[in-house]
Amino acid sequence: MRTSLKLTAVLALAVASASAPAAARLIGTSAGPAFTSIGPLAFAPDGTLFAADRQAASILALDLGSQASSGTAGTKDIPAVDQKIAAMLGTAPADITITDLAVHPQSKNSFVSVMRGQGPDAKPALLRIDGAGKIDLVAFDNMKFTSVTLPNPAAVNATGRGGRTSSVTDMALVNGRLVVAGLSNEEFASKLWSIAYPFTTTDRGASVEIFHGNHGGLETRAPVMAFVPYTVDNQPTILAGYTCTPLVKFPIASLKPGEKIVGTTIAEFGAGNSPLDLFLYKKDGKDFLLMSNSRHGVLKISTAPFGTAQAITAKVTTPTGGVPFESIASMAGVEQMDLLDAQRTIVIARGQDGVRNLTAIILP
Amino acid sequence: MRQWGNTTACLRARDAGLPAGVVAVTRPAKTSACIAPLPHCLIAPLTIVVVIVSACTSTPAGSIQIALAESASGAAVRVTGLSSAELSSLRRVGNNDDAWHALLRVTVSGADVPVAGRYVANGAALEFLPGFPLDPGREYSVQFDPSRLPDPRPAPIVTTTVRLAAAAHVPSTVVTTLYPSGDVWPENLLRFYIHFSAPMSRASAGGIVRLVDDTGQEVADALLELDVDLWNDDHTRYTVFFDPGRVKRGVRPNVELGRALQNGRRYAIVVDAAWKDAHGQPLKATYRHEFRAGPPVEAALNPRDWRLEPPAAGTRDPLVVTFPWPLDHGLLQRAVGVARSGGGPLDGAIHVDPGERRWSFVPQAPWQRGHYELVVLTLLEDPSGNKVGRPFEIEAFERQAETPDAERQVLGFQIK
Repeated sequence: MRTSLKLTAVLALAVASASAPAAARLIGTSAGPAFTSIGPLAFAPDGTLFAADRQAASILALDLGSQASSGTAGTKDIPAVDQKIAAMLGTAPADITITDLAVHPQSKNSFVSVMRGQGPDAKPALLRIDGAGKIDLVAFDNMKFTSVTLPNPAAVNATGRGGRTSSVTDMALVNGRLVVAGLSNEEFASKLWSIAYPFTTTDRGASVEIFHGNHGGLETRAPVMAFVPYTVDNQPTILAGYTCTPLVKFPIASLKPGEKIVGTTIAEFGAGNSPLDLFLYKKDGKDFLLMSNSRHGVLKISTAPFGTAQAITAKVTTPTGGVPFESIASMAGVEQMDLLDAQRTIVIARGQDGVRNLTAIILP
Repeated sequence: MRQWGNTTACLRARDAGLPAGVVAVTRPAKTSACIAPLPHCLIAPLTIVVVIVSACTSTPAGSIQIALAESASGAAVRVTGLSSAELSSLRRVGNNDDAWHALLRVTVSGADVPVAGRYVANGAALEFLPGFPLDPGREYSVQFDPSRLPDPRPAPIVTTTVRLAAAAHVPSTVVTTLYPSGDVWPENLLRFYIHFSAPMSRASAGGIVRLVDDTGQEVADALLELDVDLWNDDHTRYTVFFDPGRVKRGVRPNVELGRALQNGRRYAIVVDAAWKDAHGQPLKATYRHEFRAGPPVEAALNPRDWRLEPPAAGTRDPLVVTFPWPLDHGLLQRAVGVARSGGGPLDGAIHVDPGERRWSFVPQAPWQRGHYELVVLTLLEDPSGNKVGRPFEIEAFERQAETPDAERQVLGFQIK
């Protein structure tokens, strides 16, 4: 089996019960959510907005209510969006951090999560940008929401997490479960955590640790930075982008605690790189994956060979390997990216002048 | 202390009807207003008109005055001189944002986007409550247009600027230490921590933290830049990862570039002073941690290789545990503990010696004769990512599959 295993990537899943997840908290409607930090974001198909609160180690499911649809449909380009958001928040662009961008599935308004200020006292903010270019601060007062607490870090004594924090890198609603990828600032572990949605007080979620293989060895515990569910050869699959920078596919059905599954590393995008965002889109009747990266810019990848792609096993002599992809040179400086509509993506990109612009771009 | 001229005017909070600790002054045109905590006194020119921002019950319209005032949610921009009738109509009108902005517009000076916030017309004044606390030291422009009142008043637009007193900050934050703290780092080091003397900004280490070799040249592509917050909660510790693709043998970046550290050579981690602290100040000084690269550490952690030195019963002397090589400083704080056999974990204080090879535990209550256990969570790692029972370098899945996946291991010891 050793040889055959060398020919494939391997993912091992195990329940991390040492870090027992807290039960979901179901909050009434009398008070809005109280974020301590915000981002990343992800929309459910029905418009529920999932927002991670890193500092509180929780994920909130927000019912945006009328704030989802009261603006002009769509998203208009906003030059110098960081300057405008900073001004709205009463501060300077250098004193805000844009943590994510997500497009509402119905209104096509863009929602931008921001941390205002520096240091541990920075405040969270959520803004909506509509089709008329109007920027509104989303009010959390009286907003309906539910929340769930991420698993506590494992510790011999229940004395808190010490210096340990966990950042959510991506999340998506997959077959009725919210799947969350994260990265700790201590353990170098790849965690996927899934919990039933709507959140209930009985489902405590399952944490799985993923290993994936490469070049005959196992590149263990690399963090999943971005992922997306996709059907490959009629099999529901997760496509996951890791640091440094393999693209791995594995069956959604394998996301069960305690099972070991065989996955496949189908592409490599180079060293010193980390995926930022990725999404699927259709163009000319064909499916593509668009992936933004910290170093290698935006890549367009046809999904056509995903089903038949051979696992990368041998040493790759070219800078990249696996399924073919196209580098989109025109999309430079992309820091945040989401699918806007059937024809366009919306990005926040940093220009050479250091200013960040919100721009809709025709899908490549 | 803020200087506007050669004459001093100081308005104490109690004189102005403001909460204790607040001073407010303003002047009618081309003005600045300032709010500062007592006992600092404002120094202002003769042209200043002191406005008593008290609970005004007078009904007639007066001259419009704008000042900062303290509200329950922080500093607010307060407009006085409005008649009771004007304030009453503002309470009834139900303006939308555009109408409010046309009446009372607060912007960061130089910006053309109004600051988001709420407008409240109370019995004495119209107040703008910003959505987020105003930044100390930042200038805000305020414009009030009386012609946009529900019952327009034929009066000129009033403009002014306001500013919260800036706290005096100077560069004072320093790097206190790096972990691993030793002067030999294995060439396959995966992670190190930078500790600071005070909370830092949210900025990541990209372009700030560099690995330089013994010729003074930066080692390119050594450290992993992640779009992820790697601070601890109070922003006094930052985690830096070496590019794991270069650390792990056989992976393409490793094959092409090799490891960033080479056994036997000397290096330094340089933390540039440009890194901003939570007050926006740079570090007091650039920090260097010099070390020599040693052989790789590629073995799994095995607690059975550790040396335990149990203390005597009746004392609160430390239990001392010595490791064959340095372990991860952060994880040693929570992944190792002590329990009474058959009981729960003991409360006590953990100490990790410099070099991260000695861990000690002082219980809150004296040791008693009997059996104890050193509890080790298998997520414990060394700085190269080797865990208990599971090395970072795994050649084949079979070996991984054979590894017990227990969440904890225990080492029994006796207190006599």
